[in-house]
Formats: sequence, C-alpha cells, structure tokens
Amino acid sequence: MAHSPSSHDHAHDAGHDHEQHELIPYIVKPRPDSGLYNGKLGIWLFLASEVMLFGGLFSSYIFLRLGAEHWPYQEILDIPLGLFNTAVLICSSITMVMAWAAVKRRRFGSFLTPGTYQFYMALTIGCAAIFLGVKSKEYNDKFVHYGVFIKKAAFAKYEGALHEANAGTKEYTTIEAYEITGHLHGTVDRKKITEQKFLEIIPDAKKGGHGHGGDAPKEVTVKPHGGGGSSDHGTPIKIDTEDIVRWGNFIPKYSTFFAIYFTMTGLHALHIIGGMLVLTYLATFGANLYKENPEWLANRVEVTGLFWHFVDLVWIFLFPVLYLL
Amino acid sequence: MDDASESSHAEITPATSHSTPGTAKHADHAHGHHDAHAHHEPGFWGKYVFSTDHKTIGLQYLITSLLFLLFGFFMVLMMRWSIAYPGQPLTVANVFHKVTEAPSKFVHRIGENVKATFGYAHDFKEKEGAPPKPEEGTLAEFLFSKKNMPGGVMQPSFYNQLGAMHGTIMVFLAIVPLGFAAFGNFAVPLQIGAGDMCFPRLNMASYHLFLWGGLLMLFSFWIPGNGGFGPDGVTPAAIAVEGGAAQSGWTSYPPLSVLSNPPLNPDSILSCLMTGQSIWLVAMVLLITSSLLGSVNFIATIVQLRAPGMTWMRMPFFVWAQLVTAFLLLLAFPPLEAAGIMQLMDRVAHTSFFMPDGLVWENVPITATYSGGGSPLLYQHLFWFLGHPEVYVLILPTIGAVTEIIACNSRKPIWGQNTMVVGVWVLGFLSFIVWAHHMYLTGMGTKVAAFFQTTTIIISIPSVLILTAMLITLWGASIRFTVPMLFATAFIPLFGIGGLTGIPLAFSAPVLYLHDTYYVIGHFHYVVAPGVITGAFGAIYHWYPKATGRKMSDFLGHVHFWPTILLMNCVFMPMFLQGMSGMHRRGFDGGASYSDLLGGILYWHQFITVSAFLLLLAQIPFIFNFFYSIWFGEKVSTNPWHATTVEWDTPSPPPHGNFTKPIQVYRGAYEYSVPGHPTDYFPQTEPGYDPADKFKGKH
Amino acid sequence: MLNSLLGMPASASQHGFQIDQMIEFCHWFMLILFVGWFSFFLYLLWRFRASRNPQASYYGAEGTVFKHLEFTVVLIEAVLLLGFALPLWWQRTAGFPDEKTALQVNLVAQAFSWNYHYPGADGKFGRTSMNLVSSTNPVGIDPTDPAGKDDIMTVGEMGVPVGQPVVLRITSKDVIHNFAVPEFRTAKDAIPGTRIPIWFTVTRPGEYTVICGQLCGKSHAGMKGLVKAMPADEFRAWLGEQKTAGESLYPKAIAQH
Ligand code: HEA
Ligand code: HEA
Ligand code: CUA
Ligand SMILES: [Cu+2]
Repeated sequence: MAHSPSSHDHAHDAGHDHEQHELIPYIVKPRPDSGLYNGKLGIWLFLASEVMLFGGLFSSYIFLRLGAEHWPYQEILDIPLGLFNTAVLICSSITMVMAWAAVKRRRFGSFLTPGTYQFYMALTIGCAAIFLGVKSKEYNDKFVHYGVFIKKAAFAKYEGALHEANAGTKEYTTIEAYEITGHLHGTVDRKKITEQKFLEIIPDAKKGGHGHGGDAPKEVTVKPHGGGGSSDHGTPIKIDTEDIVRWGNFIPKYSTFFAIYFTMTGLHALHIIGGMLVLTYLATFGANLYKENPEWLANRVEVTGLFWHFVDLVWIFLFPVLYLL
Repeated sequence: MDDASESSHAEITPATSHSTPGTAKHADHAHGHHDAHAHHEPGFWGKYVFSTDHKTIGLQYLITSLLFLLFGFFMVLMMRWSIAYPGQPLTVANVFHKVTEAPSKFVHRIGENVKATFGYAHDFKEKEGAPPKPEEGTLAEFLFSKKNMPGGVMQPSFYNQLGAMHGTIMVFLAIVPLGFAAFGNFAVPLQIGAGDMCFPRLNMASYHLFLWGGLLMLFSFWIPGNGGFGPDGVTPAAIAVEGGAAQSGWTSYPPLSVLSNPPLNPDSILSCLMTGQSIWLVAMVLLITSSLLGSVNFIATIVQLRAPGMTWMRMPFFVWAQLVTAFLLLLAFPPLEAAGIMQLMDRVAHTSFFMPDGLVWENVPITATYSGGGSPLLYQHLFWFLGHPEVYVLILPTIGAVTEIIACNSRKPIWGQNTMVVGVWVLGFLSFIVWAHHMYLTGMGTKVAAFFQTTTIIISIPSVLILTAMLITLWGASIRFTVPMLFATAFIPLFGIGGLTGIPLAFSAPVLYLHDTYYVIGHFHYVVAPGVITGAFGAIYHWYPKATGRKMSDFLGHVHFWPTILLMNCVFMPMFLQGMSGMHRRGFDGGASYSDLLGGILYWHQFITVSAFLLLLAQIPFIFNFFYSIWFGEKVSTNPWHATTVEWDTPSPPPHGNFTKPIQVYRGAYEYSVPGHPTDYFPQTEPGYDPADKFKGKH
Repeated sequence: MLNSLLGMPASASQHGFQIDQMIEFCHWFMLILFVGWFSFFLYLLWRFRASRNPQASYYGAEGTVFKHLEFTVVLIEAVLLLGFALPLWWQRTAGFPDEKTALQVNLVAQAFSWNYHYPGADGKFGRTSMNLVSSTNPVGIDPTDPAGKDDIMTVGEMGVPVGQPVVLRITSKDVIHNFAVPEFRTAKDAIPGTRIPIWFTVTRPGEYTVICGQLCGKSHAGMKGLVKAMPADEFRAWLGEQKTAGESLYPKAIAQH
C-alpha cells in the first residue's frame, strides 16, 4: 500500500506506461527548476509524512514515560541482538546504495555475480530477512518470558529461595513490590493459576544492571533468610498468587513499555516487509525495465533506496530509545 | 518572473513532452510504441470505476462526497428531532405535523416574547398534548432496529452513535473529499496546464481507499450486539454489548472510546475488531492513507507539472490554497494515525496507552492495575494536533474556490493577491501550533495557556487579512450576480460570523463558560456549514460547465440559493443564544434535564429543527438541477464565464490529456479589465504581453 | 448588556463578573466589526453591481484605510489577550486562595454522578484508593486511615458556604467528565488519573445546576448535579447533618474484617 513508493507511480503494463509518459513529463529526467524527477519528490514528501508518523510515536513514548508510575529496567530487552540487527540494517543500506550505483554504471549482472545490480539487491533483501528473523526471535522470547511482582510485605517468604537461585530482583517503590523475571514452570494458563492459587517460576539470574531515571527500579541484593525452601539453579520457585501484585509475560497488555515497544517495532517491521516486497519486485520482474530504460530503473532503485535508508534511520533511533535508555 | 520558470520553457507542454529534446533520449521508446497502445479505449470499469484520469476521479470524489454529505445531513436530522422532541416517535407523519404547525407556533412565540419584553404575563411553557406514544413498525425502527429506535423513539446511545458519525462523516467523508479531493482533482491540473496528476495510479488508489474506508464506517451502524444495555440501564458494561457504530463523538476521547462499544468476546482479536469504535479506527487509518496519497500527489503535481510560463506567482489562488491544504494533510494526519493505532491497540490488544491506572466502572476495577499507566491527555494532544490543521483543511479549498469566483464575477484582479498567498502560508504554518485551544479545560497551566491563546489570536490575523482582501476586491468591480457569485458573496459574511465567534473561544477565560456549549457548535457550523457548504455550492455551479459542457439552470439556482441561505441562518444563529444560556452539546434531549437553568431558550430547539427539515427540502432544487442539467442543461462554449484561468482554454468537458494544444502561460491568473485590452478578460494562455510588466508599480 | 440580551444567566460567583465583562467586551468587538464589515460589504455589492458599474477598474481600491483597520483589530485583540485573558487565567489557575481560608473539597466524577469528599472536622482528607471503591464508598476512603474517620462523602449534591472560597480538586473514576456550573462561570474536565484543582467563591445563596460538559456515555445528558450555596452557619449545619465516613463506613469495614 503506502509502503511501496516506487511501484505505484509507474505502470505495470507497458501500454499504460507510455500513455502516461505522454501526459506526464519528468518521470525520468528531473525538472530543471525543482531539480527533481517526480518519483523523487513524491518519496521525499512521503518520507516527510512518515517522519510525522514516527515522530508522533516517539513523542508518545516520551509523554508516556514521563508520566509513567514505573518503567522496566533496561536489560529487559536483548541488547546484543538489537545491536546485531542495527549492524544488519546498516549493511543493507550500504548494499542498497551499491545496487543503485551498479545500475548507474550499467552493471546488471545476476544474483550470483558480485558487484552487480541483482547481486546487491539480493544482499539487501537477505539482510532484511535476517533482520526480520532476529526480530521474530526477540518477539518470541518476550511471549515466554514472565515478570512477577511480589508484594513487599510477603517478600520475606521467598527471599531464601531467590537467593539460592541467584535471582535478579528489582525493587519498585511506587507499587511496593519486588519483581523477579523468568520462565514459568508448569501451567501458564491464567485461569488455572488463579484456581491453583500459585505459580512456579524459574528466575533469571542476577545481571548487576542499574536502573535509570526517575523511579526506575534498582536491583536489590537478596539476603539469605530462614524460611523458604532451598532450590538449585534452574529449580522452579513456587509463589502464591495472594502474594503477587501482578504477573504476566512481556506482551503489550501487561506493560505500557512493551505496548509501545511492540507498536513501534511492529510498525517498523511492517515497513521492512513493505520495502522487501518492493525490492523483490525491482530485483526480478521490475528489472526488465533495465533493457528498455536503465535510467528509469535507476530512478526507481534510488527512490526505493531513499525509503530504505529512512527505515534504517528509524531503527537507528528505535534501538537506543527502546534498548538503551 | 523568476528564472525557474524560464528554464521550464525547455519542455514545451506536457502533452508533447515525449518529443522534446530534453526527454527524447530516454522517452523515445515510448514514442515507438505510441500508436499501438495509446489509443485503446478503456472499458466501463476502466473508464468510470478504476479510472486514472484526474477529471473522472474528481467527479467520483464529488458524487461520493455529496452522497456522504446527504447521509450526514440525514443523521443530523434524526438527532435534531430527538433534541427538539425527545421521547417522541420519529415518523414521517409526525415530522410533517411538526413542520406544518411550526409557523403558527412561531407567531405565537413571538407574541409571548414581545409580551415578556414589555413586562406582561407570558407563557414560555409549550402547550403540548400528551406526548405521542411509541408507534409500532415505524420506518426508523425498521431501518435502525428495535434496540436503537424502539417504536421510533431515539435511544440516547443511538443518539451518540449518530452524533459521532455525523461529525466524522461530515468532516472526513464529506467536506474534505469535496473541497480538497473533488475540486482539487478536477481543477488543479487544469489550472496549472498539466496533462494529469503526477501519479495517476496513486490517485485512483486514493479514491478507492477513501470509498472503502467510508463504506466501512457506514457499515458499522449494523454491527450486531447481544441485546445491549437493558431497559434498566444498569447492566454492567462487561456483559452488555450494544453493537452499532462508534459513539464517543468524532473526537473519540479515551477512556470512553476504549470502554464503549465493548466486544462480544474480549479475548478474541476478531471480536474486538468487529466493534463500532474499532471499525471507526480502521476506517480512519484507511482515510488517512487515502489523504496521504492525495496530498503527495497534489504537491508533486503543483511543483512538477506546471506548464511553461506558469510561474509560482502566476498560479491561481485556488492552487495555492490546495498546496497549503496538501501540506496540512501530509503533516498533520500522521500523528492521528499514530493515535489511532495506539487506540486500536488499547481496544484489541488491551494495552493501556490511554488508560490510566485504577479505573473503576460500575464500582468494579477495570484496567489491569500497574500496567505502567497511560494517559488520556496524550490522545487529546495527538488528536488536536491533527484536529486544528484539519479545520483549515476544511476551509482553505473553499476560500480558494470563492476567490476564483469573486475574481471572475467582479471582473477585476484580486486585491493583494501576494498578501493572500503569504497569508495562507502563515495560516497553514500557525495552524500547527494552536491545537491546545481545544484543551483549555484539561488542567492547563498559566504558561501553556498563555502560549496557545497567543498563537490562536495571531492565527485570526491572516484569516482577517484574506477575508478583507476578498472584500476589497469588490471595490471598483463590476459585479455579475451569477449563481456561483451569489454563493460566493454569501460565503464572506457567513464565514465572518463563524470566524468572529471563534475569538471569545480563543481565550481561555470565556471558555470556562462557553466550552462545549452550543456556542461552540454555532461557531464551527457557521464556518463549516453555512461557510464551506455555500462556498462549495458556488464552486459546483462554477465548474459544472467545464465538467459537463452544460450549465446548471439559473432559475433553479436562485430557487436553491435564497431558501438555503435563509434557513442556514435559522438553523445556526439560535445556537449562539442557546450556548450563551449554558446549553451543552451532545445531549440527546437538548438540555431538557436542566430546563430550569435554560428557561425560554429550549423553545428554539423546535425552531432549529423545523428549519433544518426545511433546509433539506431546499436542497431538492439543487439535486434536481444537478442531475437534470447533465443531460438537459444549456450547452456552453469553452469559456462560458469569460474567465482568465487556464482551465477555460480547453473544450468542455476536457478530453483525456486535458488540452488540445500546447499550453504556454503569459500572465497572472486574474488579468480582468486590463486597460487597453479589447475584452474585459485577458486569458493566461492568450499570447501577448504580461500586464504585470506593463503596469508595474501601478497595481 | 449584550450578555443578558443573549440570555446569559446571572453570575453567582465572585470572579463571574470578570468573565462576563470579557465576553461582553468580545461581543461588542465582534458586533462592531461585523456591522462595519457587513454594511461596507452590502454597500459594495450595491455600488459596484454590473448594471451600475459596467466597467470594472483594473487597479481597485487604494489607500491605507484597510491597513489601519487591520492594525486596530490586532491592537484590540492584544488588549483582550494581555489585559483580560492572561490575568484572568492566571488568577484561576495560579492564584489559589490560602489553604486555611478556603474550604477544601475533592470531587470524584463517575458515570453518571458526582461524588464529593469533604475533609471533615480535622481538615484532613483520609487516604483514598480506587481499589476500595464500592457503592457505599464512592470515593474509596481507606478505613485504615484514622484521618478519614470524620470525612464526609456526598453524592450528587455539594454544599458550599457563601462568601468563602472553595477549592475543588477534580478527578474521575472512569471516563472523562466535565464539571460545569454555568452560573459560577467555571468548568473543568474530570480526567481519570489526574486531579485538577479549581476555585471559586459563591456570592448568592441558592441552588445551582452542575452540568456534565464532556460526553461520557449514554446517560451523559442526564448527568446533572446540584450545588447548594448557603450562608456560613447554615452550611455548617448542613455539613453536620451529613453522615461521616466513620458512621457509614468504618464500623462496617471493621465488622467485615
Ligand atoms: C473550518 C473550520 C474552522 C475554522 C476556520 C475555525 C476558525 C477558528 N476557530 Fe474554530 N473550531 C472548529 C472549526 C473551525 N474553526 C471546530 C470544528 C471546532 C470544534 C471541535 C469540537 O470540539 O468538536 C472549533 C472549536 C474552536 C475552539 C475550541 C472551543 C472549545 O471547545 O472550547 C476554539 C478556541 O480557541 C476555536 C477558535 C477558532 C479561531 C480563533 C478561529 C479563527 O481562525 C477565525 C478567524 C476568522 C475571523 C476572525 C473572521 C474574520 C472575518 C472577516 C474579516 C469577514 C467579515 C466579513 C463580513 C462580515 C462581510 N475554534
Ligand atoms: C464539516 C462538518 C459539518 C457539517 C457540514 C455539518 C452540518 C450540519 N450539522 Fe453538524 N457537526 C459537525 C460537523 C458538521 N456538521 C461536527 C464535527 C459535530 C460534532 C460532533 C460531535 O459532537 O462529536 C457536529 C454536531 C452537530 C450538532 C450537535 C449535536 C450534539 O452536540 O448533540 C448539530 C445540532 O444541531 C449539528 C447540526 C448540523 C446541521 C443542521 C448541519 C447542516 O448544515 C447540514 C446541511 C447539509 C446540507 C445542506 C446537505 C446538502 C447536500 C446535498 C445538497 C447533497 C446533494 C447530493 C447530490 C447532488 C448527489 N451538527
Ligand atoms: Cu459525565 Cu458527561
Ligand atoms: Cu482549533
């Protein structure tokens, strides 16, 4: 739809193209006074609008975070994976430029000939696929990862076991609770857990991270304490539901942070998918244009490239904002 | 003349550009296949449904948006009935009864008012008989189900649905597509001498997104529920599902919009999507995408496809207005899209972007506590960041069209055209920094309020400037009162009333009293209904001959004009009185529950409602005229109004590709009554000198 | 004068007349502009109609009258802004009366009624929490907090003393409402998750209508409340008649434990 900047302004069937070409100048050559061909101006305008879209979301992020009662600690996202993905996207931007340069230098080639248009397009699409693959792994991790907020008053009951497990425990002052994160053992069904009145969690180990800003939680050291049963590393700890403020996996529903995380990265991923579709078209069927009018193809690649760089740029903002700050 | 335009002489005209030296090299192949492809005739679907011709798309937009305008009007008529006669069944017979007895009642009322003014005993209570009982099998009940209109009596929640949909349809599905998309698509390429829009296929996609978004929105009225709130009105929201369309106002403020229209099964994404409010949001996303495509297209067209000689300052004012409007749509809509996505997440994925912690509904906590907390105010900021530019999106195309009509029918150049262009840009820019004047009562502090009051007051200055320029244009004119001109002249004072009543609203202190009263309703309807609609009527009468080759009947035009203007004022003027008495908006009973405070002004409800029904009747001559003239109207030449702009230099209707000859522009858009010129109009395309050079400094 | 012609009910609060003044001033300004413009407009239509003036002038109007007019409009708007609007708003949002002299009341709006919370004899509000809200505890007073024992809750009706400033802190439990009392020339949104203060001083005893000014659901139109303004001693008596939270809530809460 809106994410295929270069396919919609040009025709698919040749007949139509030519008719348009008569009516509409500056499809290939730039207009002297604006210095732009139509598609380029179009994509710049489209990107201006995209800036406002993501700008709205980034502003919302700031607004929500400033007003939030609490915000999760930063290691909740996988920073190495995020960093890897950033690098992948930057690479794809580079190969995108190379693809454009290859058409400009009239080196069409094939998917397997290094240094040619189709080769670089294939690399770009490959990078995008890797990005999406990593992203879906990250998403998947969130769905099976749980956070349990234990009431401060009842915390003493579990301190011993948590210490044994070397569990990372975060303190939240506004809601009077300690959070432990980890994977549930046994049932994850909310109804069943409410009925059986307890859940079992294998806690994540301590990371020694630090909180950030405002009322950010800080990691607390769990004192060894009499009471709770001892447990080895990886052994589930049983927690009664009546001692829990709230619990849930890392999905949008249970946390405003994950809500904005999924919304922004999801929208970004949709842009990646849209870009991939266009790139694939340009690398295959759309590439036939090369024989007829290579300059026109170069324009389409350039326009798509601009979009691609923008998507890359959005990620370069998303990564620090969501993962690091 | 700026040098940019000089260089554009290199390409003679869009229609022949493929053979000009500049593009020949790479466009040559196009020439080669030319004969084989260019002249094949598109079939019915290609010609009328999936057309990429900007004129056809403009007409598609025109018809669709007029139909939506009519739907929006029907909705508000049902609402008006409920306001004036709450609890009474809405039937054709009852409406007929009320309308026919209205004149005698009105005379009686005036008598009582006069008596009261002079201190004599008066009687403000209506002498109604027993209110009519609900009736079986009314049309309204049949159309809108027993749940919404049992026995023809409107239920409050159905009133809210109609209210939200009236606002949404009028703003996003009627006026924006009418002013921006319909007139813009039809006239902009013609006025700048382009062969088509820059991206014809995008243009088609834009129309179809709009159409389907709009139909989706209408369809939401019939979303089933499970019986809804019981007649007791206390069935908790968690169980009762009403179905039906969105009912949280066109502004859709959360938390109400997230809590209302609950899904049948909150755990199912599909079920969450199949609710009125969710559909509203999805449809809005479609509409936003549509206007995004449209605005990219307009800007690119205006920048890239101006004919040789069409320098920036020679562009008609209408094109300028469209350009600014396109920028407003391009930049203001995306934040609403973001807000829409987040609200959709709140409704479907049960996030709490806009839901603060600790909500309690019917004494039962309803949000997942400790989700981190969302903010209802965030939504309002995002909404009004769109919302205010949006109101200028409504008005600017109309201002542009009215300017065209005034210049043409006063037979003289627009006074201070450059000032107007600057004014419209300033207006566009400022409209991005006034949004919070809709939010004065949300706990705004002193400094923020001071900022927004100041910007709001400043924004009224370019408006006054533009309107004053229109007014002064009339000085020294030779005014032809054609039908379009009648509507255009009516626009000026009507917009003036709406704009001037915006001034007390711009200050936060009076808003303490006036906020969300009918004073606000009066304010904005004067700009959008008597203002924009009259301007749009003018534009339709003006460009109709170009689109069809025939003129609309003048006689019917007059029959349309006078009652419409009179009744528009009858409908909206009393709203100021009601608002000043403290009557608040969005009440299905028109404030009957606090009638002790409102006193005599409740009576005006009936006056307004009857006027609104009569206003519908007053549109019949127009609708008839519109369709009749397509086939039987008086045939006209290329340039029936003796106008100067480029669109009048091509056959009516223009052929595919718009022009039959290369277009070269020689002068500004409004060279009327040029001294020494044989006729009183000097078309932009007529070879010859540019009066701006000749009369430099004297203008 | 214009205000009463336009049907504005008489003001019943101390600051009301300032608001009225400003609205009146705006309306005169608008009226003069409109009448001026409109008569000029009609004159132009008559004077320059084609039958009377068949040949239009290419040059049109000249002179600086319009510049001056535009400037006057700007000037008057600036006066309205700087002289009236800003000081008035400052007074409303930053010029709150002294804690001790003013009566403090909390308001929790809900669909579709108004719940007021008075601090009682000790002048201190008991702790509240939305989790404790029930039909008998509409504002969610926490019965474990002794400060709340003498607190008073009223539903739908607010008593206020005449002549003493009232500070009202407004919030909501569910959706957004708007506490609007036309005769007090005041209104404010009740937004869940926030607590927005307003203040006013009532000048005349009487019963005043509270209107919900923000769409809040199907019974929005019927969400009406009442403010009873009474002389100080009558007000004290009225307050004395109301049940304290200690009477209505605490015994029950303890019994439940
Ligand atoms: C096209 C639409 C449009 C336009 C142009 C305007 C123009 C203006 N609006 Fe309006 N407004 C709306 C549509 C519009 N508005 C809508 C839809 C709402 C309500 C939304 C909702 O809550 O649902 C609203 C609400 C609204 C509010 C919020 C009220 C509230 O909710 O409490 C405010 C407050 O500042 C305001 C102010 C203004 C101002 C200062 C202008 C200024 O730009 C006006 C400047 C114009 C002039 C000053 C007129 C000058 C006229 C002349 C010079 C001509 C005179 C000529 C003759 C008489 C011959 N508007
Ligand atoms: C552009 C916007 C627009 C327009 C044009 C209108 C037009 C009208 N509006 Fe509307 N209105 C709104 C935008 C608009 N409105 C909004 C945003 C709200 C707030 C909603 C909310 O609270 O959320 C509102 C609310 C609103 C209310 C308040 C409801 C309430 O608060 O409870 C009322 C009450 O009378 C009202 C009345 C009318 C009337 C009588 C018209 C009339 O002027 C209509 C006149 C219509 C015509 C004259 C139609 C002509 C059509 C044709 C001629 C068709 C021809 C067809 C073919 C040729 C195919 N409107
Ligand atoms: Cu409460 Cu409207
Ligand atoms: Cu506004």
